[in-house]
Amino acid sequence: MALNHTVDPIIVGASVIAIKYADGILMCTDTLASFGSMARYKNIPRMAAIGNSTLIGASGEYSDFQEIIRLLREKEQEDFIQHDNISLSAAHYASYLSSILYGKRNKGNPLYNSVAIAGIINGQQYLAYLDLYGTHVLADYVTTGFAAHLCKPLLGNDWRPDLTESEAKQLVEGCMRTLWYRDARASNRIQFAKVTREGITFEDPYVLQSEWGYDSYKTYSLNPLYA
Amino acid sequence: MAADIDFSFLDDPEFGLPSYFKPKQDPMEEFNTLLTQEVPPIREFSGKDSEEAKKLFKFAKGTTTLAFVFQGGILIAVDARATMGSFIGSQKVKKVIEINDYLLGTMAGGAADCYYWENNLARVCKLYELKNGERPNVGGAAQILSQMLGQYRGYGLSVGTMIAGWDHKGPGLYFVDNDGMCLKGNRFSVGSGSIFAYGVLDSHYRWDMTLDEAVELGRRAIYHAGHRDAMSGGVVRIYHVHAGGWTNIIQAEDLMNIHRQRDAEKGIEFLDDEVTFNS
Amino acid sequence: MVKESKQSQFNPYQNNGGTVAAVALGGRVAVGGDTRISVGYNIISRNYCKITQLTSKAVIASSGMVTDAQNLHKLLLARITLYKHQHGTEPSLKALSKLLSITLYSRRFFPFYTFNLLAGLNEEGQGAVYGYDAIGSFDELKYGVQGTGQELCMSVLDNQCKGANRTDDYTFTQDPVELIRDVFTSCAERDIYTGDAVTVWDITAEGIQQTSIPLRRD
Repeated sequence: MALNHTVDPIIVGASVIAIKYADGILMCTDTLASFGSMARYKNIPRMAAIGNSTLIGASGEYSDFQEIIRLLREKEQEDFIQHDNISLSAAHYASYLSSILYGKRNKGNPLYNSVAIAGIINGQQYLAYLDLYGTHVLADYVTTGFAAHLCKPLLGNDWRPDLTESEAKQLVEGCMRTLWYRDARASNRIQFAKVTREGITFEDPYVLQSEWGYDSYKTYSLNPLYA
Repeated sequence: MAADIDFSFLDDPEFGLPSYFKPKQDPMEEFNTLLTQEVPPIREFSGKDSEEAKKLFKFAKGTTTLAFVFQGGILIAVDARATMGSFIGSQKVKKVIEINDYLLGTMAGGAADCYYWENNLARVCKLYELKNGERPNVGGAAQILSQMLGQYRGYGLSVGTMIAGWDHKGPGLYFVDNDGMCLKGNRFSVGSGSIFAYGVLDSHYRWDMTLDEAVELGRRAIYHAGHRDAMSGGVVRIYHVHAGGWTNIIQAEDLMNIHRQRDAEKGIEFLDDEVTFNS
Repeated sequence: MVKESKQSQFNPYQNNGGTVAAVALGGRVAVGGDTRISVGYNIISRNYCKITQLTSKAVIASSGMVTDAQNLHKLLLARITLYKHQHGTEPSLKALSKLLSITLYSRRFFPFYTFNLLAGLNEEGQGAVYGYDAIGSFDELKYGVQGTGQELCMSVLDNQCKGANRTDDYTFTQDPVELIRDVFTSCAERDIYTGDAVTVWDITAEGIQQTSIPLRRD
């Protein structure tokens, strides 16, 4: 049958975390795309801006993520040439992408991603989670991939709608560090991006501070001889 | 001169074939065009998907339905239980589909399949009537339904229905299923409880029954099927097809009422000693 | 050739769980749905509303797979808009019941994995509930429940609404909204896919009132 069907993701990105905070939405990914258990591309972006108020981040098949960006940018162009001073919002893009994902899953040829879409609509934060079936869910904080297991409890404990930017960053960085310690497909090279009323800002990727020198890390073993 | 001769007949693929060799015009073509309208598209499912899908959708399956022709017309009796796995989805399902004022269909197999296709049959029958000024006879209607289902043969439809009605030849009772089978008969029972119903039906059936006797036979056959088949039960519904159309004789009688009645007639009371212990 | 066998590995279905229930009493109908959706043992949302308003006096509540439900609701709303433009009125509850049935059956060979309740006021102003299976078989009911908590809730509703399995002389007069809330709080105790909150839509001749109360969040 058709060769273009993604049945097994090949080059995959790990978790995405996005949270609402007082002035906007903060999103974070690492910059790794793995090929099976190999850390294949160690410095690639896993978030993208669509227009000037929509931010999208994805885990899963990287080529499908690029396809999603192409489709959304195409839609943005279509909207831009109308030249009517009306631009599509994050909610529109999320709805459009949800329909694409649903249509693809109906054909048995899904885009293998879990996606977070963030934006500011009329001054309000908008944050949505989408998956390869087309499921479209709104949330205050979105976690995809392994972060859905490791980081949801952390966010559940500490998230507040009135977090300041630095508090939000500290919280998410803590999550990313947890992933780096325990998710074998995560990287310590992470990137932040945010959407605020002023627009989208991407920060430069940096390497997380981490500490592997604890005794329990050094000596921990299932072998009682080394315990 | 030769240039004036029209040789285009040579392009006719059937040129030179004896007339009986030519493909016959499909007698059902007219219906087929009707049938292909607004009918769900067939989607090819790969094997595993359909297996998965089957696991996800536990459609109503168990049933007891029966119908028989007797001196006074046709009697139809059905149960009303819908099961999804071991869960009783409903005890009040209407398993007799009132196709129109002169046709009844029973429901066994997939509830949605029976409902949709018998409704579709009603549509086709109405169009036939508008076009020809008379209604299709019962056999014709049954044949149309079996043709429709035959088109979807192998796609997993689940239908076991009896079509009953009255036409210029008198009562007509047909059995139609999802393979496209269409049978004429005097006694049918369909569904998981049919084996029990047949037992009662075959041993007590007589052609010259009165209507009351026929109703009692249908009621009793459904009662026994409901009692012995876990997937049948709920209430019994009974319809009578006669020269003037059909009448709903029993709308819904709880099978537990019949059970209590029969126990009382036999002088049985529920006692502890009905429960047997293994010790 | 290898590709063909691989192609079938994608299973387009997923059960996101959740329960919806509806109870009609006289000129009133209460519809409830919990707000939890899950994938496996992972809860992906605690505040997802499974109920969509279709007309001024009818709503649809769906459990099963969220993405199919969303798209089914979208499709119905589009069909209803067309109906309004064509007829200048809203479709009646009976018309909606048939519309939903044929919409579901149109996907007979690739079904919407949704289990629906359609609830509202009929043309006589009486509350009514319609229950559906995934491919469009339906029935009019006085009360109904669908979803992962169906087995747990059904017998309670049988007892409370119909007076089934009771020895006393009983008629159902309780506030249907209260009943829905009680049924959901009990359901959340025993069904892992039901919880977080229940939104109850109270449909009367005066309009639709929406309330929600919290359920167990564990």
